[in-house]
Amino acid sequence: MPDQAVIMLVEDREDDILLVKKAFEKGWIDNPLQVVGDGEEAIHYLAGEGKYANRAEYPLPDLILVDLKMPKIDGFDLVRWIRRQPSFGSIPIVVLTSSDSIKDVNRAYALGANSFLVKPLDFENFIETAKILKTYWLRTNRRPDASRPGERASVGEAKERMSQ
Amino acid sequence: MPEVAVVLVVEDREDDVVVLRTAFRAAGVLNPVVWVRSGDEAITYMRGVGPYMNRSEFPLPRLILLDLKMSGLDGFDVISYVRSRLEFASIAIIVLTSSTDMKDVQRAYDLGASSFIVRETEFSDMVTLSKLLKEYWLGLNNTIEARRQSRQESDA
Repeated sequence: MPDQAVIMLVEDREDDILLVKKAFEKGWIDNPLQVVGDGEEAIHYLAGEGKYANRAEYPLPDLILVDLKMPKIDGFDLVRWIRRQPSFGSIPIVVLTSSDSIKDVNRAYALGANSFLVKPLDFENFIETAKILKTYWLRTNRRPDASRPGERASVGEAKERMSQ
Repeated sequence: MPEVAVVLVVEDREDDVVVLRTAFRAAGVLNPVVWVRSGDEAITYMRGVGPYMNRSEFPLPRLILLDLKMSGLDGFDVISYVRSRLEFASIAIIVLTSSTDMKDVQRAYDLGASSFIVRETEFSDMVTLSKLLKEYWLGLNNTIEARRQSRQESDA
């Protein structure tokens, strides 16, 4: 059975989105990947507003990868917002950024990010990082909700969207 | 560069610590492991007071592996304490327990745990888990943690 846990990527740079997609492909990570372009869109998605009201098409993610520097609402404000929603408290948030500022690291953690990863510079490392991310957060880490990701009816649709 | 990131293990059952240490060695985790037996002792260690006053001998950990059920101050109390101190914000707190009680999982996250892992019963699975913990928390997070440590040294 394919692993159907949903991963959300919040990233504004097309190059970086492509890099993550490629790394997932090369690392045989077939989870549905929902990409949103900035913090504001991520909040709309998570809150199920507007076009995101359809949870079958836009399921809640099991892992959120977030860039820090983005237009409108940035990664910090997004992390803060997510951690203030009681129902999203246990969704792992991994900051994935090229920032290597200690201030950014500490701020992201203080706001409630679970983990902070600096984007690997070469592609082979990126594939390895993607594999470990999946094994750790989707296969090993526990969350309080008993529902298994695989039982979601929405995944097939999300996958179709991905392949389009 | 020698591996210096310390793993603080907070666990009241000595048997579990022996298994963990053995699994770490089998997995090639060479980091120093500091074991404290209670939540009280963990907080004393983090505060750097009493027997743990000397930070060069008892450095702040990069990673805390935390049991939940302990007499006196328990694992939840440790999470609350560590997360109340901004300077510890980047220290990962991994709950490592046999409990699969969903209320415990929820409460641990609410208080600020980084991750919640259930102990494996088979030793070989504990070795696999140790490898993964090393790869993720002592590997991928390494870059920034190194910065954190150098910052502490410059603050000291």
